Amino acid sequence: MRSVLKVDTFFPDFVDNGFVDTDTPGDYWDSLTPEKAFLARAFTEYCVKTKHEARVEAVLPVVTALAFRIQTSFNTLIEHSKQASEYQEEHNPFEASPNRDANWEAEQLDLEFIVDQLFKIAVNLDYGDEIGRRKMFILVREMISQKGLPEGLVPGCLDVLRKLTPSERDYIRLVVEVIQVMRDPGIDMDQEPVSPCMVLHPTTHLA
Amino acid sequence: MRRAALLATPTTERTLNAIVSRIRDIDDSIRKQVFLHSLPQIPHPRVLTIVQRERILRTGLGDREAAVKDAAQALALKWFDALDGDLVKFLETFDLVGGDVAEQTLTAMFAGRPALLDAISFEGGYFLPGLCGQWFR
Repeated sequence: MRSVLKVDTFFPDFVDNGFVDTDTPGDYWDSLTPEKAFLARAFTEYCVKTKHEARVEAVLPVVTALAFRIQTSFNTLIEHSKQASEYQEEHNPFEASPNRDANWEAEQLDLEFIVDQLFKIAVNLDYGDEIGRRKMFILVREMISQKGLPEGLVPGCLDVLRKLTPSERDYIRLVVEVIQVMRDPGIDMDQEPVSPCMVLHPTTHLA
Repeated sequence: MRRAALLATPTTERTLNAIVSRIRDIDDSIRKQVFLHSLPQIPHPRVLTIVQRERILRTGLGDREAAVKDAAQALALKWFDALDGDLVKFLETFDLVGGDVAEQTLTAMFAGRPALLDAISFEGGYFLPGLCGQWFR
């Protein structure tokens, strides 16, 4: 099984520079559960819908902090995914334990759900700060490129990517790039001309 | 169960299922009766199953009668108060992944008690936007 890269190389300065205070005991965002993620997301969307954006800004983490949370939640998800394949490698599938599988399945769904809720929060943040915008962009761009990203998370990830790209044209180019690299990892994106037609006319795609 | 009978029937363990079954009664006055008088008698939301709670809220909040909608909203807030005014605890009584009734309910609660929005904070371990707007770390 192709191993999935952990997204841990992009924020080396976070913890070192004390950017994110991970020493606060019982921090809401440190111990996310589906309910906590859901609440934050529903609250955000409600405030945006009822024009209470100021409330959102007052209460949510800044972009860089949220990006960090997305990264850690995603890493937790990937770690959890690995447990399944390790278990399968060690055990005879005919002896699979249904309880254990059901528990793992439920936990996996919860972890996916959390990441998805965070994406939906990310879409509603203010990206005025260029540094924050850049960090979030790099993160989601990396995530969308990973084959290990669960299918259910693709739409949410793309929504954030769309929010962070200046124009629809740039967004399409970016997605095409990602797809091209996924199909042919050996491709050197600096050499290849990017043609949006590859997406719109799938019958002409590479074999 | 007709209106007079419903009025005369206290909500108890024995009568609960019969009462809950009336939430989709064709008769508006029966539904109003159920949401305004019978269901609020339930001592604590955990007396119900998750399916019952979700069905009650989804049906009530989606009712065509404003009085029923309002009563369902009030019921949600009552259950929230019974769960220590803790929104996270309240959400744990729903199946978040399976449907959108939690979403509907939260929206109704924010609309019905705007002070909730002001009291929400995502710092610390959890928060308690109760009447005093206290929160704990």
